[in-house]
Amino acid sequence: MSITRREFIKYSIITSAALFGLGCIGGSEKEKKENITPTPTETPSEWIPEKEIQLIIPYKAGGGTDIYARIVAPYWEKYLPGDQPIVIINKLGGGGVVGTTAIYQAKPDGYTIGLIIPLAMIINQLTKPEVQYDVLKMPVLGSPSAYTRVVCTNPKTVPDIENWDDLLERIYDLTFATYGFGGTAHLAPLLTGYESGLYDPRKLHFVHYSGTSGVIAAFERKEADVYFGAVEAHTAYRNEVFNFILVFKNERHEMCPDVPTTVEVGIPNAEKINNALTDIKAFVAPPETPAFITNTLASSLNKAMNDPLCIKEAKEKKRPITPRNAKESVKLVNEMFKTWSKQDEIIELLKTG
Amino acid sequence: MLFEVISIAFSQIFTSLGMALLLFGIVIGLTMGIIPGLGAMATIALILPFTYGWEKLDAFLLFSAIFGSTTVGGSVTAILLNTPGTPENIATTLDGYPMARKGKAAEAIATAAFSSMCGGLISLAVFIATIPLLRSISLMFGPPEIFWLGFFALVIISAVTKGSFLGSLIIGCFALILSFHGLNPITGTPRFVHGFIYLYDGFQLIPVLLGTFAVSEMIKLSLERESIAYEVVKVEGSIKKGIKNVLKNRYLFLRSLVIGYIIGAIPGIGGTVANYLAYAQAVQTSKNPETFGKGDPRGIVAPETANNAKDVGQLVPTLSLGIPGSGTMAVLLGAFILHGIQPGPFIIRDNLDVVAMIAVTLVFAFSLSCLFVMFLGQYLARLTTIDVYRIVPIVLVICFIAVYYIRYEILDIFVTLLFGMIGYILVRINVSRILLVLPIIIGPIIERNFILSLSICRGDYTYFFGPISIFLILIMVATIIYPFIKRKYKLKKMSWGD
Amino acid sequence: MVEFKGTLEVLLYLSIVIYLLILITELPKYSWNAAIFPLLVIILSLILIFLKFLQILTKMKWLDKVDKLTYVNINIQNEHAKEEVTTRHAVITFLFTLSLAVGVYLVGFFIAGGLFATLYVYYYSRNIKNVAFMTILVLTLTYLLSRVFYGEIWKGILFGGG
Repeated sequence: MSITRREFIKYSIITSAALFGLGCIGGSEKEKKENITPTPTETPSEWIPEKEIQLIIPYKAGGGTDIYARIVAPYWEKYLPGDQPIVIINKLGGGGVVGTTAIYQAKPDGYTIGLIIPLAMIINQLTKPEVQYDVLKMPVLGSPSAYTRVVCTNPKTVPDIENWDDLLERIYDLTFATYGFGGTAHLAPLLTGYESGLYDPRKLHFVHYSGTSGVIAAFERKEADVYFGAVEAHTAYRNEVFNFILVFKNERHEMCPDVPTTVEVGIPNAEKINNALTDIKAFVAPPETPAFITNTLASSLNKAMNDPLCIKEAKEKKRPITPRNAKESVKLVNEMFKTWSKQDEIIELLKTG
Repeated sequence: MLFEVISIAFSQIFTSLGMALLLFGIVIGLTMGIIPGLGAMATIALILPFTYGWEKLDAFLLFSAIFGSTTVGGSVTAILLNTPGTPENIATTLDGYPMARKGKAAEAIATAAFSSMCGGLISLAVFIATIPLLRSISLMFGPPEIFWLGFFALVIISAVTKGSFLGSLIIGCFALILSFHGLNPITGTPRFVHGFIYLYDGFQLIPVLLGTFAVSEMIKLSLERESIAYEVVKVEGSIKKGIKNVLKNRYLFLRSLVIGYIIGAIPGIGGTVANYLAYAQAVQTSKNPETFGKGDPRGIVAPETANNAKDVGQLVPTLSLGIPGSGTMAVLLGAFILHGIQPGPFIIRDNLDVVAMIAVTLVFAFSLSCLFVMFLGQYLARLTTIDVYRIVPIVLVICFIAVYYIRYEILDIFVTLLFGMIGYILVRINVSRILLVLPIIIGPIIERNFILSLSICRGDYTYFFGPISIFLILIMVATIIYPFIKRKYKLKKMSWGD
Repeated sequence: MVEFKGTLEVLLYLSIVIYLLILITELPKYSWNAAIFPLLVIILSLILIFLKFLQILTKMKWLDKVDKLTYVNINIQNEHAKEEVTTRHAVITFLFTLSLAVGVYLVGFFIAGGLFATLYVYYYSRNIKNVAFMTILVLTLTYLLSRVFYGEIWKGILFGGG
């Protein structure tokens, strides 16, 4: 059947329009499919941040934790894909609880992370019912520092105590200084007593000063005999103010290689105690942050912490970096939580004061 | 060695960067001091993160310039608006404001500025001379001594109260109770937090201060006046007279200087009470105390001299022991740590250059800020004639913004509001607002040192009565009974005259 | 107006008493070290408030003398409030200040500050020029301070703040 030119043009236009229409609908269907959130099997392996990342520090600017963040952040920015800055926000309050809660409750989209002190936050979680976070649910990205406990004695008041055994003999007559109730300097002798069974921690005499400077002044005024300090922070005062007699590590510490370890001295459960007292700082993300985001953050963080320039800068600022990757850090935090959650007597003491 | 580092400091200041930082610090310090509630503590805390990575001498040049200018800036607001610009200016309001109301604002400001400058400079000379003795002095004050000193300060404050005595005591005790809210410093357990994590840190100083003085003052202005000055008075008063006021009262000046320096030098007490104690001694040692509170220049000389002397004195325990004497010093300690300087007994041994920089910068900061204020006083005095509705919205908004930025906690503005309302109620019922603020600062210090002393002494209570403690107790008792003795002596004299 | 002052005083001390009684119920939860100081101060406060109420209600002479006790007689004129303040006016002013705080919390500094300046200045001066000038000044100041200080200014809980 022949058709006229006019009819041909008419049918062409109609057909083209129809096809065009079908194409549009089909195209949009196709687009829709492409916009669907990728299934887990299609998850991108790398996250590229598209705006600035907020790094919350639950402590004041200029404090120990804050400084570590400020040392590491520029290098982290360098290794993170994309060109986005990491902005540090200090959110103080409640001894770190307010900031940690803010990190915990933030959107799990990678744009809010934080640097916390897991040991202190675990203790808070176990002893304060008002606390609204769960340390175990926060993905750990890595850890830049670990403070190792060391038993310090006062050369002015107890010059005759030269080792752990000497100390044990007179332990109930000594005055134990701490930088604050519930701080690691207080927890360490308690935990050691309960876990090792070598002495009864309830009979120890504690005096809780305000800050490390308070302890140092107390030692100078001959008011205190023992302090469970940190090797990294107190080596500068060694011999003048403190005598180091025992270090809470599985092997000798490079900053005080002459000081024996808890393992060498034969303290029962020494390794468990050492791990529970490792005072790390840990970079964390809010719970349920997708793995591809935390993996990106963790791997770039690890590169940053191991960057020789970063390590050098940290050393110059007297804040040595002891990098721990995400896997190791998570393991340590879990172990810590397990040990501390079983310390019913210590928890009860901290709850009532 | 000391001369070497001092000359290094001078050469650092006399560079273009040095001068720029100095002037910038002075301007910021004066401005923040003038704005009620934003003293050196808040200012340095806010600027600190920006200085990360700077050369440490540059950073401390800036901090010291700020630190040296805020209290004199605060005296301007205390005099013109009856609102202390910083906590250290509380006592200046007592006579400064009445002088402004009499049209002598410029003279009052000049008196405050010149007292501050001289007090600061002479204290600095003392400080530099005693640097070698710093550590031994600081170690003399242990927990029992600090406890007695805090107790002494509270007693003095109640002693110089006016209005309803019972009311003052009630409010003082109430403020003490408010200071117990939060994480107990001794046992770390939360007290009176009613389940709110927000209250773990208790009532913060800056929201309390801003609320009690600035917000309540704005409420008062809104309710009662068209402008701060009851009448639009001609701004009078001469700078010369202001300077003469200080020279005429040189013995008072020296006594206040000593009080300020010593209070500042004692660790942990918080230098905010120095201005009030200096004021109290000015009143008590005066032959005609009834002129105080009505615009007596001596009521400005005493606290303002003590202020800057206290600023220098505070450096003693902070630098030598690493124990801050006040909130401002605590922030300064944070600055030391941020710049890789370890606070503690060895700071002078290892960082004498920073100590020298602080001292030298303070010389310039005290002098220049005081000169600025003295000559700008004439113009600043015109603030008193501005209509209330122009001042109130600005001050209230600035207050709330400042409070928010201290720790990015929006609920702090409600604390400010609450204290503002209580502050105004206190004004209406004739109770001094100072009793709402000072116990909140001193309460934790007293409690902490009391419990600490109990811990240390292990039942041997003679620990509370060491030689320095006894000395402090005797001074305290003497201060309390002195007015009664004086009155009795006067009465006796009168009866002999018959 | 003496009535206003008297009522205010009674209300204030009554509120303090109620709060202190609430605090007393919390004391048994704390250890001895934590409770001793607050307990002593609370007891002292309650005794003082009792004496004060006694003085207000009974006007006993010796209590009046105690109340006027002062080591130094400082008559601070600037602290003396004008008597012509009505309760209504005081409540309005309190509400203004409260509304600023609540407004900031809900909608942030810019909107709340601007609105406050507008309403406040209009209430006191009834002059549109003043209103405009002050609103712009407050907004400018807010903006400058938000640039000077580190970190974002509070946007208000309704706009995602916190």
